[in-house]
Amino acid sequence: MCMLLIPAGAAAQNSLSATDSLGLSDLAMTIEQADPGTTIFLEPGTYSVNDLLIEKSVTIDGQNSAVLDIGSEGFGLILMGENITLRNFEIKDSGFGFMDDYAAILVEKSNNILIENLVLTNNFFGIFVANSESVKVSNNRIISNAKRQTTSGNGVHMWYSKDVEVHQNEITGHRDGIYLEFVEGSLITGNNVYSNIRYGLHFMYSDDCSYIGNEFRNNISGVAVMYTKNVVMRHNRFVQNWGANRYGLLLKEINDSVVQFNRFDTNSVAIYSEASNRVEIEQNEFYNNGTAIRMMANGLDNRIERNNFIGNVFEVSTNSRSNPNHYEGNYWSQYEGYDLNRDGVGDVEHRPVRLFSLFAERNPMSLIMLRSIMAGLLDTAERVFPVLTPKNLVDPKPAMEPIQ
Amino acid sequence: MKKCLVFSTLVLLLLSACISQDPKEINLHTDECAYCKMVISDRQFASQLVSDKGKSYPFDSIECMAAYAYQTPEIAENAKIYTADFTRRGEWLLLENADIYHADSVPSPMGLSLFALPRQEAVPAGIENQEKMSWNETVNFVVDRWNVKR
Repeated sequence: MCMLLIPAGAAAQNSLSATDSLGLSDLAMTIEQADPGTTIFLEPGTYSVNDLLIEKSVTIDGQNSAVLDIGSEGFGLILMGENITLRNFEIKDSGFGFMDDYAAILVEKSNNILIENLVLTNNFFGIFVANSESVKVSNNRIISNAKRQTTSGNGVHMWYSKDVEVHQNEITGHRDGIYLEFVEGSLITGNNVYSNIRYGLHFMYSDDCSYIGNEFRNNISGVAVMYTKNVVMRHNRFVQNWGANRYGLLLKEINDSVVQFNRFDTNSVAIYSEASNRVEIEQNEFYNNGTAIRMMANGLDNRIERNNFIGNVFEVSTNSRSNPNHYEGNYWSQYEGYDLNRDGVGDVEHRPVRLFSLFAERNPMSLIMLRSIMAGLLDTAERVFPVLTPKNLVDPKPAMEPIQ
Repeated sequence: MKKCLVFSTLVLLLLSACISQDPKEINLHTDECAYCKMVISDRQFASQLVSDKGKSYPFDSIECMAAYAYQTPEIAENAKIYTADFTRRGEWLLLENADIYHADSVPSPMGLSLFALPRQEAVPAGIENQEKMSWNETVNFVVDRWNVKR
């Protein structure tokens, strides 16, 4: 079953010009008249929409040339139903408010929703999902302009939902690129999230979620994951999060989780971990970061194994003399030991915490002295006879070559 | 002697003027919450403690401030407590002049749905089942829900 909605062209009966404000009632009417399960194809042109409620199980297909214009007021489409699909159109200019979270597409109390191949431009929130189940958002471009900085909402925002998937989207210019709070069981893959004004990815209280193969670049505060257990983060890239209070990945109260095969490149702090327990940080690449791992001592039993630490100023820093975590088999480019038996494992242990990182922490200005001979001497002396740095924070089996 | 007295009074006045417990403006999207480390973005829910030494501790939400106050009584005891006015952008309310509410439908940054209004002001339309809380009740509520330890 399919229907055709034609906004432009004088010849066809029931047609409206693309700029006609009747476009709204027309689209609403078409949806009203459609049988459940119908696909409504939009002809090329601009339709104005405002708080357009869709409760029926329909597919709306813009054939890659229809534009839905919200006219800077209110929501665009409001989905409250099941088995609804939106695809192949552009939707732009939602309202933005201090009290209301206006979104181009609001999905509420819905089930089995698919949103794909859309372009969302200059909306307050892009896609806002609340109290819903089985929502899939894929292959969309979600772009907002930076002019509205202080009033920018999130690109994909999910709240109290279950079984959501976010795949292959491009998200930029929003507050948080992807935001999840109280979401259970989500799969987030292949998204390109860059230049958002707060976090690229931000989630709280969202257990059993997986984040695989995403790139988070140049977001003002990197990525923050908080108060969650059973998180899987694999094959992601965290790039260029430079500045005070910026972290490639901020782990706060994350338990029983896995951070594997990720690449951290050029961040002020690549991983900042606080009150996180039993997190496996394995086989990641840390390149050219200010501090590769800042591990606060209020977390227990984290395992840092077989990672490559290359060209970082500080490899590990911490705030305590005790070390409740386990470091083993990593490649450290600052390792100065030797391998006489040529088994690929350094014969002396490596201490990744530099004495100078303690000074820098207490007095940031002392960083000027980072490359001085004195700092080098102190670091070396401390490595031989640790007095101030954590005595048992060592990698007993440092790798001699980067791990493939 | 007289000159000396006048001078020292002036100096004292100057020094005392330096310690202000007025709220400091928060740089949105830049400043970090002193409790949860999240970057503060929602001015509507922002809060702060200003200690008797004049240092401001910014928070992204009332719940974080309550948890922080519980954990560090030495700072909170003599501090001035400010919350954002939920309905008026950019305004600060001193705790004594504010009512704190809890309403499940209000999405506060840390999820405990707390917000503040000027004392005796009506709750905005659209918010239902709100519950007014004293500061002590707020702290107990947060400590209980988050299992905050000292």
